Amino acid sequence: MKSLRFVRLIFGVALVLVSLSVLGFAQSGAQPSFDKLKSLAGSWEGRVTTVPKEDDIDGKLMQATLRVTSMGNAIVHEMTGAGRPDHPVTMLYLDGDRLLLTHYCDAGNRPRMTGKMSPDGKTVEFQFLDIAGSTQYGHMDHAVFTFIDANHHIEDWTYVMPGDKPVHAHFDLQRTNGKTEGTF
Amino acid sequence: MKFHHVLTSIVLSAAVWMSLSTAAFAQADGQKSFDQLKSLAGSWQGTFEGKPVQATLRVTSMGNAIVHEMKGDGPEDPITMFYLDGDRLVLTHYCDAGNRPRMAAKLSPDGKTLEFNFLDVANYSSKQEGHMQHAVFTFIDANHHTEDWTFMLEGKPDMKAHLDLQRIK
Repeated sequence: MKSLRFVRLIFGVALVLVSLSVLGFAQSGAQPSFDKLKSLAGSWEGRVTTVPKEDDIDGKLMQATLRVTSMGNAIVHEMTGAGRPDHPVTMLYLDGDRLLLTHYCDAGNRPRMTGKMSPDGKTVEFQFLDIAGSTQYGHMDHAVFTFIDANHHIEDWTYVMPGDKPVHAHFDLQRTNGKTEGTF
Repeated sequence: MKFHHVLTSIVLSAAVWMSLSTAAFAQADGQKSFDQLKSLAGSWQGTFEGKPVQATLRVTSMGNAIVHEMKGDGPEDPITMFYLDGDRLVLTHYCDAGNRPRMAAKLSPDGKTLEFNFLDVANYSSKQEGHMQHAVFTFIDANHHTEDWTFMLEGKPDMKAHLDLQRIK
């Protein structure tokens, strides 16, 4: 009976320790991911390739900016292309122990995704969490940021068209200037 | 009995029509508020407590969102996103304090003010000591508007900021 109590006590303590360490890992995991993304602050330019090929955008030169705002609590990501009406805005931020993004889509909806950095720190992958607004024209579903070096990164965005048809957009981006301070 | 059926049918039809017209009105109101706010797109300059403050509003996401940015002479640079959420105009304020309150808009009958009332707040902890709670945009003319922001402080009187802004482009 005494040994059973002892086992329960050990099990209980172990459970608490595991819970605390998981919580600590999640917290420490989100913050480094967010900090890593902040290193992308600046203006970027590069060509986009799509799979399956979308003729209206494939091969086009696109511009992206990332700016750290809200006193370091958010990152604003914007993407445009010369002569194109597209101009989605993505906000990246910490939500408790998670790194989240909200994508203010050209399609009028707002998917949220949760980010996780790879063990080697070279990619931050965002998985779909939920969505607000109509999905009549499809929705953004997945994103991966790959860090090549200080002046080169890749973004892979997956858009799901109506009928669950995914379109992958691969942006190979080179830094065009230093960190942007804002629109002022 | 037949009369009862007819009466029930009329009442139900009236209820359906009233619901539809209310929804249409609400939708039109949300869209109208959003369009009104889009008229503020541009760069603005003004003062807050005697210090210079700048604001920009940009229509993005192919017309589906407005990005509002504000900068004073300090490190503060909050971002506010405006968008239609069904039949409502909603804002999410990405606060310097690290939280994200949402507010829903109501346009005044004369169309001159847009008032945002608190809905909820994400990522809030009492350590942050407060959050943005309320906002009013007042349309004076094409080159002049005011913004009144209210920050709720835990256990203290609300902090109010009145921004008188002139268009610079």
